[in-house]
Amino acid sequence: MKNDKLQETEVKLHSPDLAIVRDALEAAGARLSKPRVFERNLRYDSADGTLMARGVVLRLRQDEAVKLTYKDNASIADGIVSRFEAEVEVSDFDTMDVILRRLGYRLGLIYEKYRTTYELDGAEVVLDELPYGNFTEIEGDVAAIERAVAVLGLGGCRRMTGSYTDIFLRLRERLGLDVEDCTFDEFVGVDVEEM
Amino acid sequence: MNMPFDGSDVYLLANRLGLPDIERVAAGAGVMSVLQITAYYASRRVRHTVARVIEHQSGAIEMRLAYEGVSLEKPIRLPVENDNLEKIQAVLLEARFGKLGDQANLSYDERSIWLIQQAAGAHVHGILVAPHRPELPYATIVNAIDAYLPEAIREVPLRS
Repeated sequence: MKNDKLQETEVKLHSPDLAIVRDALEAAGARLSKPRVFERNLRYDSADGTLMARGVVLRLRQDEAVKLTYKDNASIADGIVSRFEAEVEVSDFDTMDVILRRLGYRLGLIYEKYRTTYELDGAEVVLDELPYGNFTEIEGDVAAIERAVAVLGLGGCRRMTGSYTDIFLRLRERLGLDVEDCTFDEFVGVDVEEM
Repeated sequence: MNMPFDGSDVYLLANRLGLPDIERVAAGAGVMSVLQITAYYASRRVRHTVARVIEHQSGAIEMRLAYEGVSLEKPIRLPVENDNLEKIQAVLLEARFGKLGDQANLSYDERSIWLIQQAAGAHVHGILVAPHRPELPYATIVNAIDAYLPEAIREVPLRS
């Protein structure tokens, strides 16, 4: 396997109004490659607590498929995050969860989102709806990312370098949110205005 | 009547996590400066943290991270970009950090409290800040740490 397939480069933009981004994507001729889908994600930590402390992502995701993902070693330049990423598809979410727990990993956090995926000029553009806000992620090489940011008029959006988990935990502690996980059910009646 | 807040729990956290005194590290051979951020969370839903950024005279910069309840057998060390540290130092300078006192009206009811310390040679200065209450000039310091040293204040969940 070539190494460049194991590298993720992306920017995460805080974009509260996704309708504007969707309009810009359609105007730019982007192709809808995956319609809006619900995702449930479990983040795991090692028994000694060092995995999440080191910023390592071990994640099990259920959408239309089940994927196990490992990420580490992030570097950030101009708000664009590059890091090692390895991902495999597995056949059964619950069994994989059991395997990870039997291996000693512990559940760190659950987060959910809706994701709509487009392709635009060499970049993958995803519209993410999380319980605490909306974001646009653009993945590709740096040139393709910056091109897409410009074409979509997202140059003024705040670039978030943390993961969705990082953002959630920061919001939860700073706003004193009475939720444990980042699920839509837990956010019913919770207003997050300061995002 | 509420007990007056003195921040002693926050000040003692680094020692409690087994880290040597910041004064001793700053006075060490080849060390130019130390920036330390202690993050203390009232909710106990995330781990308390101490992030120590050590700037060496050689130009090397490293961050050492200690989390409450996380094994310290292999200390967590992360690289820090010189540019990012310089940006934070510029913000601290602009905010007159060396003469800045604690944020006013801190109490034991704060959601979280940061102790931000800067040390060089035998001199150490620290301030206590409530990062969720954005008051100037503290907000500019909090924002700079958020932007340029996000790993230093990464919240790690503690599940029951």
